[in-house]
Order: sequence, then C-alpha cells, then structure tokens
Amino acid sequence: MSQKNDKDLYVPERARIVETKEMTDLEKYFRIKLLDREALGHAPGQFVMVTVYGVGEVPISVSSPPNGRSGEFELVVRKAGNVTQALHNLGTESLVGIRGPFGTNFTSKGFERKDILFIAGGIGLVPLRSFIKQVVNENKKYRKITILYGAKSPDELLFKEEMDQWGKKENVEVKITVDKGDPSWKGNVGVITTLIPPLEIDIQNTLVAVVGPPVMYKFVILSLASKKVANKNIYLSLERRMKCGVGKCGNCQIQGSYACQDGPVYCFADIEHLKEAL
Amino acid sequence: MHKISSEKFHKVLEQIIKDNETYGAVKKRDEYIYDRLETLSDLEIENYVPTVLPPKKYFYPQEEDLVQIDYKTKKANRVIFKKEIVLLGVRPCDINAISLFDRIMSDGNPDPNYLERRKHITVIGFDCVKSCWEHALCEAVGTINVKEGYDLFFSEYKKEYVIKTGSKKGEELFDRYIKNSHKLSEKERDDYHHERAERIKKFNHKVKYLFQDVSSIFEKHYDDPYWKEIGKICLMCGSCVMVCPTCYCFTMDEEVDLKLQTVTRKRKWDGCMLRDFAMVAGNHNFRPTAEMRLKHRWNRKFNYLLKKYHMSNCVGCGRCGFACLVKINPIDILNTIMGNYYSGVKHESEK
Repeated sequence: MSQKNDKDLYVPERARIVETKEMTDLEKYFRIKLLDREALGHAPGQFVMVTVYGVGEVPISVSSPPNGRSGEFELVVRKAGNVTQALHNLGTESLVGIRGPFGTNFTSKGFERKDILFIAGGIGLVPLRSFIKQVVNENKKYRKITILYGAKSPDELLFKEEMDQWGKKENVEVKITVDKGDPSWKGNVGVITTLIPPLEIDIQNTLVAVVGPPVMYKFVILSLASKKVANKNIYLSLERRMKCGVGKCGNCQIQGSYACQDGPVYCFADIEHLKEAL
Repeated sequence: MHKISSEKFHKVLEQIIKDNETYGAVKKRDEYIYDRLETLSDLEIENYVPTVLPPKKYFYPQEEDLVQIDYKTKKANRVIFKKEIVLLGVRPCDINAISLFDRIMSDGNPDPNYLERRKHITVIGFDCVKSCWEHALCEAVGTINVKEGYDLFFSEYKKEYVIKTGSKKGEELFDRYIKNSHKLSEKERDDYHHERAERIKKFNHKVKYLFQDVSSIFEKHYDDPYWKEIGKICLMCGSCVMVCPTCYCFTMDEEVDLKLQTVTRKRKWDGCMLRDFAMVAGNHNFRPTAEMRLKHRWNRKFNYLLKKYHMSNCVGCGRCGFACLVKINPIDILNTIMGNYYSGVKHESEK
C-alpha cells in the first residue's frame, strides 16, 4: 500500500500537523494527519518522504506503531539540514507533503512466545519505537522483551516517560545508558555495547532489532557475535541519503541493493558480505 | 527488410526534418552536439563522432519539472510533458542507452514523467560503418547491434540504405515517408549481414578480454588495487557522469516563483562521483573517497546493473574517457582489472 496511484510517483499528498512537541534542543515531535486518505498504512521501520513546501523533501522514519489513532502518525525529526530546520519552524495546523510509506519493515512473525531484544542508539530509538510499541502493546504474546537504549548524555534521552511505562510491564526490561553522565544522572554510564555482555540471551529464540548511527552497528554486531547470536536473527535499519524513495534516484544504493526498496530494514545475514553496508 | 537508394535516403531525411521538430548531431567548433536541424545539411552523417552530450538530454533533461504545487492550497499535480520531437541519426551506442533507460524507468515503480515524455520522442537511428574514435568500446560491450530503443534504423549497404523498423511508430513512419522501397531478397539479406559483420571486424578492438565474464570478475576483484591507483588521480569532478548516456541518478529540488503562487518540484542530474551524493545528516559520507566512488560507478555499469538488466550499462561510446581530465577510461579499467584477475594479481582483501 505504498502509493495511492502509480501515476503520482513524485507527487506529495497533503497532511496536517495536529500536534508538535519540543523534545530536546535538536529533536521535535510531530503528530500528522493525512487530509485526503484515511490511514498511512505503514509497518514498523518504514519511512515517509516529508515535503516542506517550497523548501524540499527528506526521508523520515515513522515513529508510531501501525493502527495508531485513525489516520494519524508520528514523526520525530532532528534538526540537521535545510529541510529539517524548516520543518522545525512549522507548528500545529501547518500543511506538509507526504509520500509513502516506503521500504521494508520489522516483523515479529515467527517469534511469538519467544524473546525480543531491541537495541537503539541515539535517534535510532525513533524508528525502532514503532516496532517496540507494537510489541510492548501486545507483550503477553512474547516471553521476554528487552530494550537497550543508549544516548550521548541524559538530556538527549528521548521518550523517557514512555520507557518507564514500558519497563513496568511484567515481561519487559528497559536498560538505559549514557556515554557521559551529569551530576543528576544515577543510571548506567558507558556506550551501548556495555549493556550487552551481562544479558542472558536464548540465542535460538531471540529476535534482535537494532537501529542506531553507522558507527554503532559494527560494535553491536561484534558484541552479539560474541554472544553467538545467529546473523539470521538480527535485523537492522540502515540510513542512507534518499531523494526519491522509490528505487530510481540511486542515492541510497549499497552495491546492488537499494536501501529505499530492499531496506531500510535488512536481515543481517543478507548483508553481512555486502561491503559498504556497515 | 527494405532498402532505398542514397539519393532517396537524403530526400526522406529532408522531408522528415521539414515535417517535424527534429534534432541531430551538428558540428559546433571542433566538436559535435545534438541540436535543432533546420535542413539536412546541418546534420553530420559521414564523419560522426560522439556528441559532447548524448541525446539523453531530450528524454531526461538536465532539469525537468516533475510536480507543480499550488502554494496556497498545497494541491499538487504531476507535470505532463508532451512535445513531439524526432531524434535523427542516433547511433547504436546511444540507442542501446535509450533502450536501457526504457527498461530502467519502466521497472519496479514506473517513472510516469519519463514514460510520458518518452512516448512523444521518435528515434531514428543510423548504423556506424567504422569506429568513430579511439575512445569507443562498443565492439567489446556488445552495443554495435540494436534490438530495441529505436523506431526506424538506417544501415549503409553498398552505397544504399537498408531500413529496419523497431516499433509500430516506426512502421507508420515507414509507410508515410518511404514509398517504393526495394524488399531485400534472402540472398541480399545474407549478404548484407555478412558485409556488416565484416566491417564490424575493423572496429576498435581495445578490450583484450572476453566481456561476458565481467560482472563476476568485478565482484571477485572488488578490492582490485587499480581502484586505489585511479582514485589517487581522480578529481571527483563528475564529468564522466554528466556525459554518460546511461547515468540516470538524480536529485530533486523545489523552486518557488516570485509571486509565491507555485512551487515546482524539479528533477536534476546528480552523480555518484560528486561530494554530497552519499552524504547524510550530520555530514556522514558513505563514500568519501574517489576510490570508493569510482569503484561504485563502474560496478554499476559492469556488475550491479548489468546483472539486473542483463546488458552492459556502459554502452561503449567513450564520452567519459574523452571528457576525463586525467584520462580515466573504461578501456583501461576493463583491461587492468580483468588482466589482474587473469594474471592472478592479489586484491586488497586477499593480501
């Protein structure tokens, strides 16, 4: 259900911003509703192309789980370039353009009554949150759910209250770490990989979903490998520059693979030999 | 298959130019460019060498309006482009590039803007009777012959011209412009194919190895030392991309008119040799070096896309080698990397 009409491949649909929230100095939350269509119809890990009219278009992962409030979805956007800066300047009632959803997605299929391990670094939590919420909302379907989350500093942590709520569920464990603490911080200090060695992972029965900055993957993969987690059970989302989102513009290409079509969510077993991927 | 006399051939072309908005290879100072033809004498037939830019610029322009958006209501509509034009005298390398474009743009998510524009472009090809210049490698990559991508195709044969039609539009053109042609007998057809095969033998044979193994060799020699070597001299200027008939990577930009009434979403040529192409937020660049970019670009031509579309994505025109300021070119790339493979030169990851 990617586009309403093939003839409109590059045409954005109108959507209204219904709520915004400043989350940190750099990240802003948006709740968005499509004007001319009921629901976005996305799956966890997919992205949309967001147009700020007259400025440009950028790929942004959807942060809300599927079947959210009818026709609404959530984005969290880091201010990083022209378009995201302009997006930050928009408030409630502003219109933006949406194309998508595009790309592959995370799925827990085959892991019912088994374990799920989420590993999020920095704003990697934003795309992973869609999947986390889908799983946590149906926590009884799974055996053990573990969420590892690392950020540079305590004031960069996102969705802290939600994390606390998730952690209160009986089979959900949330572990947070920061690279560098501050005087008020009483939690773990250290990079995200420090949270992995103490884990007890049932390697036959655990699905691992990882999203973070490029540098994080190499180290997380090494840590998981030392735990003997099979590559086929590791899924990750790769960030690339994207202009079209539909497999044409070439910007997102990783060797012969298009991150916008074959990704952004990849099974690690499928890309472990793909040079340039990680 | 039919043939017409040379005199008739020139008359037909004259009439086509008179009736249609026609573009072809025109001499400009020391080089050739595709430009509007007013009369047949504008067109270079005998002494053709590849034009600075391929005819790609007509069906995939440097800048193209994709979508128009009303700035007030934000209602958006696809821009529909339908100007009828004729490209006259397109050579086999460029016809193969057009055929490749047609495949790529119809594949997966079909590109509506491209396909609409393409419908209105008529391609009339001319066969090559000799190698056009030393940069060409059409003979190696298999693009001397044309299967698709043209409507009409003229091939010189014993001072006359053999005509092939490649589409329904081509058949209509044939009926309209070419009356009283001579149908080739079986014997003449065999003779024509024989003569054509003979003249192809005299083309450049600069690639020393069998091309059919190229993608597996490029894959096995992904870290061939030659990439590092040419990576050291490459200026990352993107000239190779801009003159390439098969490069189709693009970026999109939005422009607002001065009255703030309309936003136009434009497609513009982009290229994997350029700095921003693989750069993401936070200035992380997935392909920061010339070595990585060259490796990516040529693996697209000879490996990734060749495997996907079952034809070489380099059509052998040689424009990139001619345009390159430091003389990086596909003939040397193929000879060196395939040569290293066959002579057992170890690549980086094997050392």
